[in-house]
Amino acid sequence: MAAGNIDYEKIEFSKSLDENLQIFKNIFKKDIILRIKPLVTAQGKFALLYMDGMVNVQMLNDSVVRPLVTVDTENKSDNSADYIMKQVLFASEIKKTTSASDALRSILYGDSLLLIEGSNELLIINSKGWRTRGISEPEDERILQGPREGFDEAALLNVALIRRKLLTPDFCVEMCRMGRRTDTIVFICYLDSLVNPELLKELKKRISKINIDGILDSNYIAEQIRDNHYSLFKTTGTTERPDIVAARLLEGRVALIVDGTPVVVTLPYLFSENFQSDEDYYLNFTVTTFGRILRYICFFLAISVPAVFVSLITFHKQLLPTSFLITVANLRNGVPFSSVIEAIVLILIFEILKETGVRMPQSLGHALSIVGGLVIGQAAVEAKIVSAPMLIAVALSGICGLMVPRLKGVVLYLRILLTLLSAFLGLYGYIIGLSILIIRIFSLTSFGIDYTISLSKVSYQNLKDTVWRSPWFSMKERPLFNRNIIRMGEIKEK
Amino acid sequence: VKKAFCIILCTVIIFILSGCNFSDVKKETDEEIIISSIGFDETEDQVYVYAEAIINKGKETESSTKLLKAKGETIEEAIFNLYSYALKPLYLNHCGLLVIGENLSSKNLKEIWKYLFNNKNITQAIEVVCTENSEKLLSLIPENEIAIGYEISYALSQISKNTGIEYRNRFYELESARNEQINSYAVPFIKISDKKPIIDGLQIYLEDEKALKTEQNEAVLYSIIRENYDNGNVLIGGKKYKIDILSVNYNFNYSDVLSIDITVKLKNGNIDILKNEFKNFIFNKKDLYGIGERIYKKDKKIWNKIKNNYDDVFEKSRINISVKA
Repeated sequence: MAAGNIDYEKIEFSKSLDENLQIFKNIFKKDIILRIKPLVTAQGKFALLYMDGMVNVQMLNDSVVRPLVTVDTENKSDNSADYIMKQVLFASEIKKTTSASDALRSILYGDSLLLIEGSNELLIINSKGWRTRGISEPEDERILQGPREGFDEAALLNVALIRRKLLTPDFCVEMCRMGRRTDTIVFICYLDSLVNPELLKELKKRISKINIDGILDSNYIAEQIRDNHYSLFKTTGTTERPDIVAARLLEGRVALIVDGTPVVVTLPYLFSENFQSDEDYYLNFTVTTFGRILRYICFFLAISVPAVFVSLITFHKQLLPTSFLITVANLRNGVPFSSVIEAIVLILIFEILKETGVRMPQSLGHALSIVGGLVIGQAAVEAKIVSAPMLIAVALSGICGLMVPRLKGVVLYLRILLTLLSAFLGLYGYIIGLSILIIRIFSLTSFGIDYTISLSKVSYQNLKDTVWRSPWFSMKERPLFNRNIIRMGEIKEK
Repeated sequence: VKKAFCIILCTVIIFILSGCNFSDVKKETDEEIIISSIGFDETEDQVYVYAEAIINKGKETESSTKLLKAKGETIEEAIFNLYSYALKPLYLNHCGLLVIGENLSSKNLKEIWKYLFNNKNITQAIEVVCTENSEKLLSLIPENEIAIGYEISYALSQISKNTGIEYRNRFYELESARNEQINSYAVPFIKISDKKPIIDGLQIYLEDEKALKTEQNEAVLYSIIRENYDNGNVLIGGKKYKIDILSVNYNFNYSDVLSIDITVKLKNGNIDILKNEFKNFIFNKKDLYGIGERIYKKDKKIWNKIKNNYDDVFEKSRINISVKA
């Protein structure tokens, strides 16, 4: 641990309480949050150091201050750290250290330090007591049926939430610290018997290469460990739900829990996961299968509708039914812009309205939808700034895009790119764009595993949780990247 | 950097090689005039071309039509003048009807086919009809459809369904038949009565020249012989009859004279009426019925003997038609 030019590893504590206190005062000379509580007891002189607001004061009083002041021990003159730790204090987790680096890490993470006169060893007392948001359902991952828990910003609590679902010693949690200045705790979780060791090795290798000032969210890590840094498609998954993380761990994936964010990264991430909804597995498979197929169709429509519409009305009018062409021509009559400009502007307006809706307070949401959707839309059509068919095409593609929220960024880019290609080359351009897209999707990898493994290595078992959701009793195999692909029962050899 | 360069290079090549980006192919809907029907006619020395254009009314969602008209000494010149008059390019791909004036029928139609087909001006199905006066027909006010061209086009398919006579004769089907050396074809003849278009028999062309105009009664018989008849209700002698045909069989025999036996088997319908009609049916000395094509398909030996002087052989041939239940 280092900050600026100071290397804390080199600091050595002395046996003098005042000198040790002075070290901390120097380190935190510009930090008014540090609290120092001097204690003079029959046991000797002590100083309790903690960060205000991060500790459980009640617990500190009961299990540290009170015992030191009141406990009547046999050997009152022994004020060694070892003795105090084992014989005097009531706190559940105490450890001693001589490392300034460890001491600083602990005090900054909500632990308390007990400095003892005559000892160069410090006691680190687990007194974490910062306030958390609590376990609430994630706003972006609401479901109709199923567990309502959501992750919190505290990583330890998040690990506990997962562990509660995976009551097995097979569940492994490794810890590492990242960020030169933030020194953020990151937990790597996996099921030892399922995870692919090569994958784990690769993940650790990539994590070790990260050299960044601070980690404030899991995306800081996810962006740096991806296979394809510049790809529109993300190859690492994210979720705020412990049940989803548990389900992914049960499929042999690895989860990265970053302290300070409720968003947990899971990997590898496959293309088909973009179309899986959290509640696909909690509702009847007949219902969810329809929804999943609809999501694939909607993704296709979301990227294609404006592009195809533009190419049809500018290049390939003969493909349109006569009555429809006449209607379109009529409604477009008087619109000053070309259809491609109209489409791009409408796509951007739709995105602006969407972004505004996401960022603004809920109470203003209805007003925005009325003003944005109805008033501006209708007024623009009546004023002949845009035509109604184009508005319908863009709105349809926009709504279809909302069906696949995990691909929202991708959909926007692809929609614009395909529209531009179609505007220049007609359906020829659209087909070229679509072909490049398909080739690109099939060439992506997530930690060395094909992004489309379940689609490219086609087998009935693979497709059972890809294009549709089969009933649980028939999903006997896990995804192909597992060490052990048998999920249930015996698989008959084909 | 190399990858990015390759992608940009490929994109540029695609744009340049495709030839689509700056070509005439790309047109906004308001940059062209949608033509619902096109007509050709002739008076004295001048050839006239008419185009029924769909006019957008701007603020309203309704459309109306306007008849564009131009003339010239040749068909090509007339068309050139029409384009000059229209100011905007004409969009013919949604043209539903091609009208050939009766006066023009005396001329060879090849020029029209050449303009419409070879120039790829029409790539969709378009019905072909013949009429007394193209301008008059295209000036009629449609009752149900937006344009008279579409109305006649849809009416043809409906009437074909009801009567069994194949009145639909699409431009592309005619064109492909011409390419396969089938020299005769028939298009419905439309006359105007009380400002309404009425189908009045068939106009038959042989080698793109007018050869015969049938009455309504003959159109039934003509369709049956050409095997272009589907079951339906037909008007014969002012009365409606339902004729369901089971099969039409051909039997050919050639020694010195070509003998053609045609047997029409009826599933339902009045045999006597049909027999009577066929008795009075006059076969033209030219093969307007595509019988040569049937000989070629059904009896190649006979065809090989007669193919070199088929027209003479057909002129002397003996045709016998029998109607059976």
